[in-house]
Amino acid sequence: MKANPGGQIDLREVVGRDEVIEQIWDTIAQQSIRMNAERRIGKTTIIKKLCAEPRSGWVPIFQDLEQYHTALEFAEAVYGEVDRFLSKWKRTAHRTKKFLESIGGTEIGGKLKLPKFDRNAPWKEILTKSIEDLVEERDKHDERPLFLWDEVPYMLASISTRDGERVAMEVLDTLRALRQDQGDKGLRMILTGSIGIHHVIHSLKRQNYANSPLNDTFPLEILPLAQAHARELAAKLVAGENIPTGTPDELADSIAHIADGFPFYIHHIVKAIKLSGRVASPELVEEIVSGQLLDANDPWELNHYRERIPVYYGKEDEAAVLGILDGVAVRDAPVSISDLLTELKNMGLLSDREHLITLLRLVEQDHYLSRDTQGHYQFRFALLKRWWILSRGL
Amino acid sequence: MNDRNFLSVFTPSRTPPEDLEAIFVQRQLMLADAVERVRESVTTGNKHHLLFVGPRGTGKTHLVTLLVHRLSLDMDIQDRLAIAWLNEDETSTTLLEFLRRIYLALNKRYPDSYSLVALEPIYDLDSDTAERRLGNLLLEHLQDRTLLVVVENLDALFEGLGEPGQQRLRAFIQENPVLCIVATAQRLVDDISKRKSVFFGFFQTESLVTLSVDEAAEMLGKIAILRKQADAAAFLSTPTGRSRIQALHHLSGGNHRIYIVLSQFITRDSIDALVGPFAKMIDEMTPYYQERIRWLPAQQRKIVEYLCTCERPVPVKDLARRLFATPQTISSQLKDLREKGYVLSAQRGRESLYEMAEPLMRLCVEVKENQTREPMRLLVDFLRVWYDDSGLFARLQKSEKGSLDHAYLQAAMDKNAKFGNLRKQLLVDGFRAELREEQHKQWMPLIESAVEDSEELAYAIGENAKGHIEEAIAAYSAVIQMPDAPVNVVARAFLNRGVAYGQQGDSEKEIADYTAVIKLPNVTVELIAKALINRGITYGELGDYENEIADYTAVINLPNAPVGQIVDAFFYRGFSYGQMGDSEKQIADYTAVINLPNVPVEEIARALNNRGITYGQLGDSEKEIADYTAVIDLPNASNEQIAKALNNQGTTYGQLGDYEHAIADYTAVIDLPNVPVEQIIDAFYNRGFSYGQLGDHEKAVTDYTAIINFPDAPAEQIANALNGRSWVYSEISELEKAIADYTSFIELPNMPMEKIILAHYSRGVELLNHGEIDKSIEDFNTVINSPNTPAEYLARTLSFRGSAYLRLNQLNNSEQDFEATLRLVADIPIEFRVAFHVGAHIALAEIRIATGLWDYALSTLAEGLKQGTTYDPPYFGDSTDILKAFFDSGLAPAIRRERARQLAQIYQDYNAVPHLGEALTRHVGSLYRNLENLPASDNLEQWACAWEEAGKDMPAFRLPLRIFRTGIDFLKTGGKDRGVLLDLKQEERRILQQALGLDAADSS
Repeated sequence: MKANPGGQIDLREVVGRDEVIEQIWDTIAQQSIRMNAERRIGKTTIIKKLCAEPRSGWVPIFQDLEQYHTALEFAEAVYGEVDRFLSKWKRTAHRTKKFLESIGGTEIGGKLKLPKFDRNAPWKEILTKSIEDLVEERDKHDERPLFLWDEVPYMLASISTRDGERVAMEVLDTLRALRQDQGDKGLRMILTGSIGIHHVIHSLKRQNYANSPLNDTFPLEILPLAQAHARELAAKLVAGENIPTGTPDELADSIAHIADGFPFYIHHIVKAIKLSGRVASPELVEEIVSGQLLDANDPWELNHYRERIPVYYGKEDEAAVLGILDGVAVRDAPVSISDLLTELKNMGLLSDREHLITLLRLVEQDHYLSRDTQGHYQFRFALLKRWWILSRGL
Repeated sequence: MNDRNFLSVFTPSRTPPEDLEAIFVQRQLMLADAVERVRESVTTGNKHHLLFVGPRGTGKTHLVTLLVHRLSLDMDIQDRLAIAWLNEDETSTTLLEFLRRIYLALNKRYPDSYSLVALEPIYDLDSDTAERRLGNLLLEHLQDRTLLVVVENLDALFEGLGEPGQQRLRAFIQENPVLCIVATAQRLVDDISKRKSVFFGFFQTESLVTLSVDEAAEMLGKIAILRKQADAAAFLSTPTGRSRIQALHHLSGGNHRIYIVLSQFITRDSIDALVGPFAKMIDEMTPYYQERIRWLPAQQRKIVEYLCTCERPVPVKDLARRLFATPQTISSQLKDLREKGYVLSAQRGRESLYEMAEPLMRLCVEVKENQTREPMRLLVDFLRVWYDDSGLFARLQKSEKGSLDHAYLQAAMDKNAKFGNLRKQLLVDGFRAELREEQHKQWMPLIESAVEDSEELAYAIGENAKGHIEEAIAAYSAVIQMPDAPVNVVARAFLNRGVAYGQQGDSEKEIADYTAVIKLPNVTVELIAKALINRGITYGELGDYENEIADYTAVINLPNAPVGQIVDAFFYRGFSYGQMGDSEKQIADYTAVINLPNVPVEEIARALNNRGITYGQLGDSEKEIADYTAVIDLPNASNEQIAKALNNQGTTYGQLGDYEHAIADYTAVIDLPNVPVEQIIDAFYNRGFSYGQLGDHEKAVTDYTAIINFPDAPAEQIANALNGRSWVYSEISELEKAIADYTSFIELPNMPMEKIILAHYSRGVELLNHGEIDKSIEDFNTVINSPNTPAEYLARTLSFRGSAYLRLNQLNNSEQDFEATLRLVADIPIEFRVAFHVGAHIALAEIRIATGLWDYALSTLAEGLKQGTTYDPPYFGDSTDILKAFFDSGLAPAIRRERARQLAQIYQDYNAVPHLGEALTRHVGSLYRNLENLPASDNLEQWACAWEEAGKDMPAFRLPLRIFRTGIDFLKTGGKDRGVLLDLKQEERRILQQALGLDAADSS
């Protein structure tokens, strides 16, 4: 297997995700899941593996929602997918079809051609009825439908822009209602996104949206690979690329360690080693990573972690968040909330303990920081910490 | 034109792929890697997406053409692969259009499988349905095949698709993992590179860099071979050919396409063959570049247009002046332009110079602006580089007036007359750009002086500077063999080749080359002197001092040799005499320099410093100091030499024990302006050491700390300072700080292993003294297990680890370590050995008493005391712990008496009874310090009686026993009644008080 940073991975060769997939199947038996992970951590690969190798009794449907910009597009896409799906078993989405016919849809050659809609399109009905049709049909076969929806926050953001925040809120509420009404008949959803769904909801809440549309779902975070798996992946790629090395174990170890278990960076490092044409060693790995972190072009786009701060936390909290992250970055050991507060006070950045705790929770959700057993904060990823120190000149 | 020789300048895909393979350079590894990745995409579920980024003319299409060619030849994958190579001139604004382009490309390549008829019904559908239907059509036709989509100008495609189109495309790829995309782009646009972009991280991106000089030469050579023009290929590999390609590099900017055009001229020596294709290339590219310039904001456009008219890189202030703007405004615009890839910057000292990144852009602007249809500047410059004046003139004579040839040749000659030899300028500029800033001082003067006499020599020196030794040697050899080369050029080539052979370690050839210079007729005296000095140095390196000195002497005696070289020869010869131990002649040579007329003051100072050091080595401190003083008083001597003299003089004063004068000298160095950092740090270190010797620990610490905090201090000097400071901390019992310093030392980067080992040793000792026994053992283990530990330190460390184990009561481990110490003790230098030698015996005796091996313990102790007597003065170590082990063994009174007698006898045998007495007193002190566990009175009384009985016939034991008895009586009062101490005389009482740790005042 060759290094393939960013490309699509052969599902038979996915490394180190069996445990989380088992956990997902166990969880999904009880409730739907919202999955949160940094971009390029491999969540799409996990979803595709769920889709390709379902547990018995499940019928997964995968859709990349990034391409839909309005609630209607979304609803139509779900209808299209349900219809395509049912037609495999020579079934149709009865309710939806009936509904669409009632509002002017016409059937051409077995396919229903949807009518043209204006701004008041009945997307909610199409969405609800399509899913109800699917659930009902599958229930007859004792099968449970599972929607695997990738990049949900992107779609919500687009809907917010095109249809307005109100419609975005309604989409979330409709999905929640469907989970509640159809959940006992087996319907489940897995919603994923690389920007935290909490940010989308947070911004909707600024528009007086009071619901908690996802609190019925299980929050699942996809973590980087465990060290042993990261090592396994690195070793596989090194072997797949025929990279010469006198110390294969140490090499795999060092790649896994330095990449913090991020498959994307592991693939990148191995490819860079390959293209260097040199005999690989831990020293070369270190050299390559240093080069990447110091490269003014920022090939791993780590500057994104800096640039998104005003977007995520607002201009008003930018300085405080930077102060928090700087304060944690310069310390070798995890830091307590009190110590951070003292430091931020001295710097005139923040003096309210509660506000600090709120910000810490948010940066934790966004994968900057994590807490140890004593509740002290540290950088979640050593690689990010290293870059942060370098880029901030700390 | 022969078909096989047709290299399409604009459309490499029209060139036969075999020819493209034949002229392919620079990217073999990248191409092979890309082929492997596509192959894996075809044969497994992994789908790779590759993107190659580079400006126009950098060989992108060449690369993908070969990629497709190699894949097409791979029969193993043909039934699993479909290739859609999209037409690069079409655009797509929707996923539907993109899918249609893919289908049409497949139709072109596989008309039977992807018919146009199947596409027809799709045109009748609305766009959403059509997109879905076409997607399905493609997937159905592909079956199990992987679809390789080759997209040129991905940046344009993404721009056309916009974000919604990109999102649909990405979703299509994700939902249908059958695509493998190989794309090219002229630049890395935000649509790909920004994390928030749809395709962030999706592609494996490789930047295509321009050709280096070597790669350009390789490509031109390959083109010549392809065209079966062996002469041209051979010429390109000569130093003359290489020096011309080196000069051309600046004009071409390393652009593949320009080299392909130039190759037509180089391999056929025809100006027609150059101008025609060039003009066509410019016609084709001008709209593109015009467009790119039009996109720019007005201010940036003006900068670009001005830079296009400039012959050379331009400083910011010139640009600002020309464009009536402030340098700050221009700088910020240039920064933006550089990020966009329009301009390049180079540093000259503190100044930034800017020029156009793409020579073709400059050329296109020039042609557009040029209304009079004058010859194109780049081509004129190219002719100036390729031909000498004589070559230009000869061709001009043959050309027809009014012809294109004539116009270009005339323009080239006119420009040469006006601006000088462009090739020489470019050759020098090229090397200046390629060499690192710190190399300039050494190499650029050599290259600049050589280029005036011989470009080939300048080229060879430039290659040498770049570290291409083989290439440089070949180039020097070619210069040597050039039939008409001037003798001094040949001599310089010999000299430099000699140095290059020396770099390769081939001393024989090196010496032969210097000898060749010496024997050449009519060579300048400077070159002969240089060759003699170089040969002398080489002889010296080989240990042949006789020949070495003869060569230096020859320089000294050479009529009309420049004084600088004579001075060098004296210095080298003096040093060499010193190596041979002939200090007298060494001093005579330094004296000769001092007395030589017209010698620069700096050299006199150097000679005085060297002579002073030599006097010092002879032990003549007076003359030594006199020489240093002479430097310090020398008018116009540099501060560097004065600082050296002061540092040397301070050291001499220090060796004489005159630390005050030493400190004054070091302080003078520290206060002197413009002194190299190393000298100042040396002065701080030496002053810190001197303060330490005077017992002024605070100032010593301040000086060492100054070094540690010195910006840019070399690691070695920081290491020395940490070492010095930790020693002081240890002296003043600030053990934690001493330990911290050793830790900092150990963590310094790039320290030699031996030094790190010694730091572990020292830290271990301090940790042991500080009571951190486990940590001390860790350090000792590091020392003992390291293969780099010197034998002396192995023995020392085993002894310390033995002590550490003893304190942890791990008697077995301790015994093993002390026994090992005794086996290795001879490795410790005699002046330090005794403490380890006797100490190990005493420790072993203690262990054996504690483990009940009394007789064995006695013989061990006897051996230790015996060894102690062999040293001068005799040394018996500290027996307190032996007594402690004996006392703690809790024996019956009779046995205790007997053993006390035996012990006392052994000490008596080796005249060490007073020593035993001191140990008894110290033992009393240790019992007092542990009052909570004070032994019972009768036990103490028995202990005293046993010793009194043992020593009753030993006169030397009388006084110690009296003190000991008083001490025991004091302990029997529970250490409370200090009146007991008054049984002793005042001086005896003081000894006991000291052992008990009482102030004299407390008990008086």
